Amino acid sequence: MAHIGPPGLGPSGQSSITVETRAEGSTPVIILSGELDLTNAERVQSAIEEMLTDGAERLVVETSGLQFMDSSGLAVLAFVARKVPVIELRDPSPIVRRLVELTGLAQILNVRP
Amino acid sequence: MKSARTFLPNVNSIPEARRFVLAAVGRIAREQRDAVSVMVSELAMNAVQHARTRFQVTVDVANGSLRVEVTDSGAGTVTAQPPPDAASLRGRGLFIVDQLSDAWGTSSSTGPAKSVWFTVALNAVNDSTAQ
Repeated sequence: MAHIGPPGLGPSGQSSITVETRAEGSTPVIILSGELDLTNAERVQSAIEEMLTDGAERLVVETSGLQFMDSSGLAVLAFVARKVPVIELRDPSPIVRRLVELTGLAQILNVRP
Repeated sequence: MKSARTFLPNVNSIPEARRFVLAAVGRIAREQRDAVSVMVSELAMNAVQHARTRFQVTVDVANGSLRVEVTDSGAGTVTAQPPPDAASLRGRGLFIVDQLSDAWGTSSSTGPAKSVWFTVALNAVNDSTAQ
């Protein structure tokens, strides 16, 4: 589990996000909790890259705990989508789903439910 | 009710700007809160990444409508962007503001200052959705 940023949000600090991983059979599952924005997007991307095994065919990104994401998070998802053939975006909040759909990312991600 | 705050050209100003706007707006339906947060984040990001100057965020709530304006001192103009490619990593910010707002626009005055604003009609807050 990689915790990025201070617990909670300081008035002048970066946004807090936690990146956890588990496996469903041979499929890695990345669990994002907190707020994903430009203050931590690069580190989240690195954390996901480190968790990816070589030649992973499929990845699940679990987002039910993702309270906030802007276009910097969409960029992370687009980056990861270039590394893994099939990405399932699981349990996005209504706004995350809307962002993924209106920017066309839904065409390259598998959004469930 | 109108409030304004100036932020440093630093990435940490992006979440600060979101919190400032949400605090100024007060109770708001969750769906709108989420959309406003994203739009503020996009405009603050533009100021931090492209203008790289201090920027001011102005929040105006009147007659059930929210107007947010972000003014920086960067050179250049703001142009509406076409829908981004799915695989492109750039060019999403203003497109997102265009999609999530009721209206948006830009203004520039003499000297190095430009503003981007958006408006959203605020829904009546329902207790089960307010946060």
